[in-house]
Amino acid sequence: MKVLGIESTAHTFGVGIAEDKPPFILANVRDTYVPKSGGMKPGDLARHHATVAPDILAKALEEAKTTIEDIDGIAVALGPGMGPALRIGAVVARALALKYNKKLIPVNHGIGHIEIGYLTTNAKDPLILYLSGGNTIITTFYEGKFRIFGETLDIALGNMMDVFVREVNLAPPYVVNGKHVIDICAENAKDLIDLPYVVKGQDMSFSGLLTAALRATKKYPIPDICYSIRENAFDMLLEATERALALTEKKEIMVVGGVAASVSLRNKLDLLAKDWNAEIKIVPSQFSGDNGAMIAYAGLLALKSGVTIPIEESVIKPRWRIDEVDIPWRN
Amino acid sequence: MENRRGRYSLEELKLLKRGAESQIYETYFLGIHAIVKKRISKAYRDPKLDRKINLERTIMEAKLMYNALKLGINVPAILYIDKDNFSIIMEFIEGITVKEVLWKNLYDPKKIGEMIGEIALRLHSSQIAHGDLTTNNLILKENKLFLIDFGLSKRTNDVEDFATDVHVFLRSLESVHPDKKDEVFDGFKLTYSKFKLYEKVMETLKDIRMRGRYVEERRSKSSNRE
Repeated sequence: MKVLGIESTAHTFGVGIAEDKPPFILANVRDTYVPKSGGMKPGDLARHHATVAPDILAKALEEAKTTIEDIDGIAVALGPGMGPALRIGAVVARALALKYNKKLIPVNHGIGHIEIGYLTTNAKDPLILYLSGGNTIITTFYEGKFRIFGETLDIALGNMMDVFVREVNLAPPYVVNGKHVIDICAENAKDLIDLPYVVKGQDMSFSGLLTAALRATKKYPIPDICYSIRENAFDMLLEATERALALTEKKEIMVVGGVAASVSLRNKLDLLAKDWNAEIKIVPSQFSGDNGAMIAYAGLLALKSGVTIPIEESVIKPRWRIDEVDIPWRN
Repeated sequence: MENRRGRYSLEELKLLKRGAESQIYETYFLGIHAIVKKRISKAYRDPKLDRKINLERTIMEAKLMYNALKLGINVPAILYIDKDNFSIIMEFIEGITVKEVLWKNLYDPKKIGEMIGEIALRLHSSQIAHGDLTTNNLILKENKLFLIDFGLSKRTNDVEDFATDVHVFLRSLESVHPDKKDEVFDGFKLTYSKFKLYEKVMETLKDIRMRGRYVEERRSKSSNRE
């Protein structure tokens, strides 16, 4: 069984193809929109995705050495994400399903990140950190659903760091030679400055940290602020993680999503894991950022459990939480 | 701690539990069955931030536990504070956590909820927010409920902080005891609703939950369905 998956929730348009036998992932092609300055405007994203879609689709089929006729289902990330961007993926997916008479499979973008994590890290029963530009979630699977132990109460950790480096003109680009700009900037730090540290139970809040950091730019050297933001933000996350570990008694920590590629986070997690006698499992970098393969793979699991959606009901869901999704394939 | 053992005449420190931010040791302090809560330095944390967090929390925790005790809330009595070692020695509560009680069906969930609501009512009425009101931090002993771990507690008049307590409590029910959530929370509301800011707290609770990302209730506000 083969499923083609389409990702278009944010800055990346990606198409992946997954099969239900090793090596599982047959293709993973994508194009990521990078604005020349400022943040992402939803309209520009949609234009980008619509422009690159045909080419990415053709390349994915070519990479998988297959044809659209051999595909059993079309999976699409219907959310969460930005409406205009989501609509492009949804339109392409619906068109393919209609024209070639394929089943349409709704996939939650976050579940895609998590399932590709299970596949590539061989985690069995992990506490999951889902960290990306738009999400900061601590979750684990329990009785049919992913249950959220902790999450950001406002903006995501990745988004907070991105906005800071952008506001002080260090970005875009946000990642240089595999390192986030905030890490590069932090390398020249001399001192830790006092910034808000907000953990509420297992939840975190990052918006106050961002505001205080931007205000601090008038008083402190930028590298010190970069370092202090990173330390505060990651330490808040790690503290919340430790609380979830204490509560769930898990022995594996799986990290998925774009922020999983952060080397400084990885170093901190290694220290934490040693303390807890737990194992850290980080999704490989080609699958950490948004990609079509994870949508294809999660779609494959869903299709094998009979999860499909009629075209007329396949509305986009910009605010679709991972804990709303039934996961029949893990029962 | 080992090198200072003589100072508080502790007998046989035995590691009991590894918490998220501290080690809990069982011991006898001047003959009293006690635990030592020692905050751990985190290897991953910048030393300056580490010291600041541990020192602030040790002092605040001891202060607020003492205040809660004075209010007649069941909390462990404080026996000794060693702020240089981020340690508090307190009375040992011999009971089982509400987490276990609910998991093993050892007590009526609604009754448990009522008892928790009563504790929250008293704390909040005296301007104390607990900060980590989970089923793991409540201990049942001889039909009495004890509240432990004031590590994230603060003195406050802010409805937001009280609502955060309720949010954290509800979150712990949702994630660890989804099947008993409604019963426990119904019991909680029965007693907690006597709090004079109850209506405001529940309103703020809704706000807090709406602030989360991709929250169901927020959808009605967005026009993204098509």
